[in-house]
Amino acid sequence: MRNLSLRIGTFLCVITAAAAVVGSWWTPYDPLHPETEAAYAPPSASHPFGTDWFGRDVLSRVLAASPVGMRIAAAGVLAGCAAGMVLGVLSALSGGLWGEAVGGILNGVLSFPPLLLALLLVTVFGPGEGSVILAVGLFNMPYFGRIVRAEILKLRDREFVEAARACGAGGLRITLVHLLPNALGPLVVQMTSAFGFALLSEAALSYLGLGTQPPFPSWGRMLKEAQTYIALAPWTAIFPGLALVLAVLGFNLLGDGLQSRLDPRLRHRKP
Amino acid sequence: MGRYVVRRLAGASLTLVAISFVVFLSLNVLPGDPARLVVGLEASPELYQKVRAELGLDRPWILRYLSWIGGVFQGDLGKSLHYRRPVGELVGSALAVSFPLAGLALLLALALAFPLGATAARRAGSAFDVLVMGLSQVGLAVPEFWLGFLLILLFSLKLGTLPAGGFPGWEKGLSPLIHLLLPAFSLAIPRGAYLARMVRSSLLSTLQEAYIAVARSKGVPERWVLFKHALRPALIPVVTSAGIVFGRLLAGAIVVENLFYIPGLGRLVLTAVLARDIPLVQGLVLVAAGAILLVNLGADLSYGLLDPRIRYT
Repeated sequence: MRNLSLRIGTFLCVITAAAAVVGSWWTPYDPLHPETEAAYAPPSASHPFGTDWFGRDVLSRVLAASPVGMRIAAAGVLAGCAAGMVLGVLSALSGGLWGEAVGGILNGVLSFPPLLLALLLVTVFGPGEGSVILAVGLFNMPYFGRIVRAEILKLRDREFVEAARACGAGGLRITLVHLLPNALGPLVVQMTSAFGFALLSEAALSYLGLGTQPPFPSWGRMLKEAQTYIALAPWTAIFPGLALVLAVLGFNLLGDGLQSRLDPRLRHRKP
Repeated sequence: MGRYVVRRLAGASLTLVAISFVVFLSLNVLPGDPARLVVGLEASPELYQKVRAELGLDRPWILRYLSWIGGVFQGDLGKSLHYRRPVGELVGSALAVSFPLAGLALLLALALAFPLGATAARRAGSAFDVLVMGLSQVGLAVPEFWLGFLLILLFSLKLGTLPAGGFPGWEKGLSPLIHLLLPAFSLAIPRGAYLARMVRSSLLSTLQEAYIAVARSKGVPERWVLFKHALRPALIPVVTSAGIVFGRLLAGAIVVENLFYIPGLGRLVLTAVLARDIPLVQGLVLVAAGAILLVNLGADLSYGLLDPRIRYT
């Protein structure tokens, strides 16, 4: 069953990545150019996903939107991972009040509704790609921070750390060279799952009009615009949504599959 | 127990003060001029001066913070710039919609999660388990607004059985609840999927405990083992997650409330952000944070009921 997650996840992720690569170079029609005579065309051979109210090809728009969403999600997750690693190391190494304070910040961010946090950032920094990346990074930070912290606390009293210290390695070297690489597996798993959620968040913010700005298509804003034409052209909402679902599902399954692959305890656990 | 509650409440109040400080700082100090944020770049100098005075910007920020937080302690959250009404009043009427919506969504999510998660755990590795876990992955991947869209398409436009949006208010007894059904369902699917996975994994690890093996070896029927011995302690992580889900739903149903035109906290937040209504944003964030802290405390207190080994000190 776990292998199934890994296989389906890899398959969907490859398709998503391929769509993003293709979408940034080539689309069957111009995603921004309206052809009024072809407006509201249902899915057909020449327009597999149909056309929208301006006669723009929905498949082309779905393809053109995919690199935008992926880029924002990737930047946000990487930023969150970097910030989380720094905070995790800080809170694990500096015990006492400092550690408590950092732990408190991480938990505080964790219990807050992610979208509310994002809206707060948008109020401060204005709508657009930068705010979305910042928001995605911020609410992913605690997850990475907790992984790093847990891993360091688990390993710091082990013999190999003592051996490194005996060889004269300093605290920073021990952390970066001997402790942090052990967290790599869980961090990669977390990045994969976080990527799916980041795609969803970007879509939600763009749906609210606060993320990717026109004229660039994004899956979230396509859904928002399609809402007005829900009865006339439902395909304009169904296909971008479906693309989003398959991409998110792919990354979630990949994360799940990787986790059981990397953690031998999970792999051999008899239910 | 009493002392524990008092200590937790004191801790929560301190956290709230810290949150209020951070929120105030980020909205009022960091980006520069909040009055400019409110009126925008094209506003006339008169309007700008008026808003500046209204926000009290002629005073140093620390005094403004102290007078705001002093008001909060007396139950006064300030006045909304956009609606020209007290923030407390606006939040109250939005909460009267968001609270039942969040409750209904959580109820639906739990109604999905428990039977599916428990059965999947009992028959771990079976085809049923694989099916439920696969479906839960799909549920987690579906964006709420797309799901809501499909539900409107099916139930409102095709079948015409449920309203596609809006909320008439609570004047007509409980009948307006029907307006919350589709939004609650869109919110419930991803959360139900998440909680079902939680129920399954928690129950599975509880079933590996030694006392379960003892119960089984005594010849206790399997159904009895599951419901009497395993379920209650297995509930603890589920209750924690359900609490977090509920807290996040209160002010986090922003997208769904906007899709269905539900006048709850989520819609109010978006309006406040778009109108750059800083007092309203501040008040909303503070109320949301307070609600989340209370819900989490409630979840922590329920552990004692679920597992008699847990004592509060």
